[in-house]
Amino acid sequence: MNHCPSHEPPKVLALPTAILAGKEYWRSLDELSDKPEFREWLEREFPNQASEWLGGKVSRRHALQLMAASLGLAGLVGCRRPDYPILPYTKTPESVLPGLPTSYATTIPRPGSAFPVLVETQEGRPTKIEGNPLHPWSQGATDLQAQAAVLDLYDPDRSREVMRTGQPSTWQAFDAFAETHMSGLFARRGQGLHFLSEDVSSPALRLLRQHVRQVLPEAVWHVHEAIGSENVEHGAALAFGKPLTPTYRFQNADVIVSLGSDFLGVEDGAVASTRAFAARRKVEDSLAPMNRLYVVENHPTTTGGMADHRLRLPASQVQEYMLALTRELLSRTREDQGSGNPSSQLPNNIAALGTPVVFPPGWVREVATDLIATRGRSLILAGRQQPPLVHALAHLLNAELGNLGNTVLLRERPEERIKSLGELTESMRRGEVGTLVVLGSNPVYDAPSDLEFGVVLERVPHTIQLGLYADETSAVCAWHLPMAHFFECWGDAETADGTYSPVQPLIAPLFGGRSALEIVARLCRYETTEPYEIVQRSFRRRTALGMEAFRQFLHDGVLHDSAWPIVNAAPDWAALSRAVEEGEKRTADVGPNNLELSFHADRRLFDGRFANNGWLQETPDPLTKLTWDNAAILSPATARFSGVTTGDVLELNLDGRSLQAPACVLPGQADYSISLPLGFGRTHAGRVGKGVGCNPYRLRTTALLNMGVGVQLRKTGRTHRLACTQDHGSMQGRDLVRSLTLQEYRDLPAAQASADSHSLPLYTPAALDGQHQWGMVIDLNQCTGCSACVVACQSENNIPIVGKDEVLRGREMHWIRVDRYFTGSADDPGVAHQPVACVHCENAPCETVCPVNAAVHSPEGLNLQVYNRCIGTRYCANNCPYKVRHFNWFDYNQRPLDQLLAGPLAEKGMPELLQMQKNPDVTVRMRGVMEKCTYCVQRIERGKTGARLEAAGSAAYNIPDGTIVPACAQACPAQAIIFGDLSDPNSRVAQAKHRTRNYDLLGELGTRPRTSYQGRVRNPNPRLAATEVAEEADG
Amino acid sequence: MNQPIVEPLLDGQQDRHSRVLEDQNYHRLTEQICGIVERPIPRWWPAAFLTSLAIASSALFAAAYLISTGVGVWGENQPVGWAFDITNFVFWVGIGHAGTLISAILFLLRQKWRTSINRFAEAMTLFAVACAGVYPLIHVGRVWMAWFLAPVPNANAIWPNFRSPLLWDVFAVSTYATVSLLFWYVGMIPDLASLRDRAVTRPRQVIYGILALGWRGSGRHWHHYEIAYLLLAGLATPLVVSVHTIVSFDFATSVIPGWHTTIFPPYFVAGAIFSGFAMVLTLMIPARELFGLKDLVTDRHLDKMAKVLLATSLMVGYAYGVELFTAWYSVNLYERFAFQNRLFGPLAWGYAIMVLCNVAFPQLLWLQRVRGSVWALFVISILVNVGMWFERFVIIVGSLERDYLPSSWGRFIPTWVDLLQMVGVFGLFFTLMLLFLRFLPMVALSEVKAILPRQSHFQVGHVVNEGEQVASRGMEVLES
Repeated sequence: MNHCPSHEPPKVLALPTAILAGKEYWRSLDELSDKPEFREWLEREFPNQASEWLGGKVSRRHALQLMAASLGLAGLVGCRRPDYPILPYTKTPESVLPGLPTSYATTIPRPGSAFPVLVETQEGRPTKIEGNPLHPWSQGATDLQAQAAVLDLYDPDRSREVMRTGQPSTWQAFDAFAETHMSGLFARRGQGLHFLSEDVSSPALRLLRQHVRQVLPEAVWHVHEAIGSENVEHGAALAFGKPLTPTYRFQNADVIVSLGSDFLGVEDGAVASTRAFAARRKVEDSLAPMNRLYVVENHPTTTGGMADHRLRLPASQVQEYMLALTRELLSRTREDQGSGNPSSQLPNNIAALGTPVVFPPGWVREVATDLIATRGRSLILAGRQQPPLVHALAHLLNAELGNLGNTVLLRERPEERIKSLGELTESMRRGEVGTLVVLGSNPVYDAPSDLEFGVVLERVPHTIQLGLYADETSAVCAWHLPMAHFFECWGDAETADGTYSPVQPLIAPLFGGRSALEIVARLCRYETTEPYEIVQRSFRRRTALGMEAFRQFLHDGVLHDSAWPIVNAAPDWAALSRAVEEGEKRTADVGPNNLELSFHADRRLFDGRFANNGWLQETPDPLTKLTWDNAAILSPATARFSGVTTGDVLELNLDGRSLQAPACVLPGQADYSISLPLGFGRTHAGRVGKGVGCNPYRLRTTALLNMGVGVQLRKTGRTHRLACTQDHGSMQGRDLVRSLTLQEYRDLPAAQASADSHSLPLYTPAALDGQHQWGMVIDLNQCTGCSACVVACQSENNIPIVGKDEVLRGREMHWIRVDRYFTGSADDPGVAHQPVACVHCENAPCETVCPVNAAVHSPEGLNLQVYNRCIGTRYCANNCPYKVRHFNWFDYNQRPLDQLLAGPLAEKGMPELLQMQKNPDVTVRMRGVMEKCTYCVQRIERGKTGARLEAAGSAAYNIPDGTIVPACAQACPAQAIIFGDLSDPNSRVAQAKHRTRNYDLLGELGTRPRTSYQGRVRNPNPRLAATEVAEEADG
Repeated sequence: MNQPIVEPLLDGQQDRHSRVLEDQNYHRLTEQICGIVERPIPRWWPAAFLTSLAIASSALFAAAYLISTGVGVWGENQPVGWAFDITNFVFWVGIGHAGTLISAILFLLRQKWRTSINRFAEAMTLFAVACAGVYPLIHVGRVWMAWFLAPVPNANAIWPNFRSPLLWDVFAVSTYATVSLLFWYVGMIPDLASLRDRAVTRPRQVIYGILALGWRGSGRHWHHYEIAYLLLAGLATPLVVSVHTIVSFDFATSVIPGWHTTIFPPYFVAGAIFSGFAMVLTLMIPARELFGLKDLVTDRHLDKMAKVLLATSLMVGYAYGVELFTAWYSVNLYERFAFQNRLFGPLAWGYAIMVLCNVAFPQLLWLQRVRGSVWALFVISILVNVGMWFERFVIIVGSLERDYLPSSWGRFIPTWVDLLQMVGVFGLFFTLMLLFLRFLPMVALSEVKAILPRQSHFQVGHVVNEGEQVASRGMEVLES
């Protein structure tokens, strides 16, 4: 805890033993810079010599200086330290123990929301991201993008210099320009000045916007997000007459109906949703009954994979289903309640609407029955893609079922007059925009194509863009300014429910970037241009609390209970009724001659902002298992109908716009509906993301923002090689992912557990006589396949990316992979995910065959790979039945990925920026050696060291269960991975191994794996399941 | 083609006369064999040698590229960690077996007909083992650390893993190479002495003089020589069985379906002899044409080798059948799938080639006419070589491509480096073979002389090396 008086430097905040033991301690940055005498001392001590940083190659010496500087000064003056880069450890800062990481709480801004994290830093270098356990939106877990954010920080392709019309310039030049230019604008009260920002939910930025409104009343602020929450907002406004933000309490829901909402995947807040959802899937631990999930969607999602019942419907027909469900449900609740209910007018209204779509039998009636049976404990929610009416009807049904206040909370957020991108484009067309300041947004790439933003932008006389990368928009703007990464600057943020958290700098800006706060403050002449000051003011304004609370706020990374107030609201029946009438103007039927096209956020690159992140590019999509590409996703029936196979390049034509995209046939996609993940096809995105995939934004228009029908599909005759990491989706009748229904599980005799391993080892097994016996349990019932573990492992264990060509060869290096299997029918299968890393066999096939003893067993049951003993015969990998060993075919760490085949002629050496990301506790492997999951042995050893220190010399030491957590388990939002000491009968992992659904993968081989799996338990609605079975029999 | 004169096959003592043609004698034999080494280089030789050398140097280039860049230049991947490298390794080791079988086992079994071809076959063994040895060495990820395989006492007290079949391989193959080299060299000493004695230039005198190790052909020399040769033959005999047995353990002791098979040791040994005899035929048929050795390596030799080929083909065919039966009979899901995949999976074409070349085509050898036709034998021997290569490829790559977890199934597609390495090693083999043909006696002179019809000794009255008489007597003693 940080309670130091303000005139002293911050003290050590966590005891070394506690850090050693792996407890999640972290500390805030503090600041002393207010004192003029301190500043003076700084000036005297360290004259301005930072210019070397700007744009040059980072030498090792500079890197060290930078680390030192960021460490020593980060807490002192604020967010940027390019001015005073040298501060050697003449005296080691008290808060730093070399070799031990320190964690800081900060926040990753997200569109309209935020994600709270802890960042592990090693002597001033941020290296690893974990979730913030104190923040309700993380509870210690993370998602893919949060794990990968640290790689963006060190991306060598980030914008490094101020550019003016494509020529390198300087901040001084820009400041001078801004000074004169803004003077003119101030004189005109800001007329012609437009800001375009991302949907940043930052109170500090709100504060500045307020200032802008005061000093430049004519200036206009616009917000643009390619994948925004307009539908959610409009839906709530439609239902309640005011813009309320719904948040969901999945932990209270017995029955969940998702209408195209990927709340376990790409929707905002998925980590918290997954945690809450998974809590009700823990069959053994949970006192509450297991929940049941119905999903209606067009393309397979992680949420759909978890569904107990999934209905494939074209995205534009989800509304039909919603109307049918509303009619069914309201007519029945009305019957129950009798007359006098205010809803009396609506069912008639709906009843008049004929539904052209025929839903599978039972899907309307049985779902409605289930919802009514769980009144107040059910939840209906709609996805971002769905039109406002679906959202509004979901609110209506939730209100009708008494779910408001129980499973759905409505919050009121402060409203601001912010204009959209469409309005900005209109103004630009009319020539009203004299100066446009783009803050972080990239509309030239991701704006709807009918706006022709790039063309219109060229007409604006003065354009200034602040961005992390020199992207598509920078190419058109007169000024491009390098933006500070959110790990480099001060700021604040709110999650979508309003919970307030800080953004703290962890390192000085690597490329001298500035934050949006600073740019706006400078341009609009705010009282202070120090972002740190602004954040403090914003904190005081939002909370009316003092410095002590601020310090606590920084330390915790969250202001507890700061979410927007919960309000009660009643549905506005009249407005809804009108909207339903509107809904009559429905889209045409989707069919073979009227194909549907829908856009969705990519599960890895989101809207394209992460395109230059190699970790995300190489993470296989949880469903398609594609890397380094997006593809037009078709159902097998659509593919058969159009004669398309995976890899064919298709030309999609919609409203005169066309796009060429490779096809990917994916079972589970709705028939005659084509899905396109956004976020690919960048033309200006650095070396990693440039030209990867196709750009669906070219087909996306204001009218067809999420979905549209009438797309024409034509085969071009060309093919495209898709780098898919898993070609076979069938389990081939093998017992790999075991699955039961809840009833079957309850009926399972207890004796059936762990009857697999029966063979005797030929060799004397390794002596497993260590004090601890490490083991792991992966609960397939919790796993959604989100793949956060994959990137968490990559980040923790210094795993290189290998590039598309190598993935095509089958050489991806991920130590943990998530296998995806389809079960059931080929057109409408169930999906099962199975994370597989080294299972640490007690009787390991890899160990017996290694000729040089590089694969050996530890007394604690770890299957160890000794890199400097390994000569690379690859025999171990061949003999591994789980195929979890990965070979360094090339020097992936040392050579550029596009020059792997150039051998000694290629450049050698890892870019120093990337070196800074590496975890110093884990060896960076060279070519020619085998590697695999270690159960994060570095974390185990750190935990043991800490425990021994705490035991202070006594031989017996105790590591409390849960102290040592591997990176995958720590990241997992569903808590599907349990790690611990099997020799402790009370540990969670030992307890879990006694469950009847515990089984060893390929246990019949006698490998005796330490990682076991817990079978999936589904909770189908028996009556709906019966109709589905009957229907299948008919078909 | 002229039918060489072949004595009818007779039983007992008479039989020895028929190993070579009637009109052979010591002098003519010496002239014939040593003459190959002593006469000016034939016109075809430099062209053949340079071509082989050029191809061999491409192996050097491919290996240099591999070692400098990484094993990734090959097409191997996850899950196929071994492909062309181990396929070729097993292929070459297998080839070698015919040499040892002919030299050692047939020697012990008193199969005198071996004498005309044993030197040649031994040389082939040695070069094949050299070619095989290239692969395990370069295929590892860190060649410069390959010495970890050797049981070197060191301060870290880290030993190789004696449980690993790969380590057994190291011992088996290196023992095999050593014994084969010794056997070959010891057997060649009297002939090297002949070359030394006939040498007219100084360099030849010095080089062959050194190689002949001071052989004088005395009775003591012959006595020791015979004992040493017999002992080495005894030593080499178990190696014929053990080496390929151990090579098969690489697969048989693993857990991979399609590898984990108890029939592998005899299956591999039979296959090795099969492929080795095929390779001897492939090489011998043109060599005896080119060097005019039809009176030494007679059609009867070819006929006998063809019969061995037929017999081993049947063994291999039996093994193929038993594999399928065992997989079916095991009722093991993975085992059954592995063989189903072998027959109908992505490498079904390889399996078809293997069965056609190894089992179907060799059945033609039942026909006397086919065995008598040099061209037919030559074509069949090449087909068997191809088939045996595919056998190893199908076993190694086919099994790895699809094992337990369908999620990690993959495909292997060779790169140009894989192909260049393979072709280059063939070049290396032919380079060594051509050097051997040019500079060393390709037929075991002293042994052949020992089985010449006795009367011819005295008819000619010219004894090149008096020890040879003793030799033939010594052989008599040993035989009786």
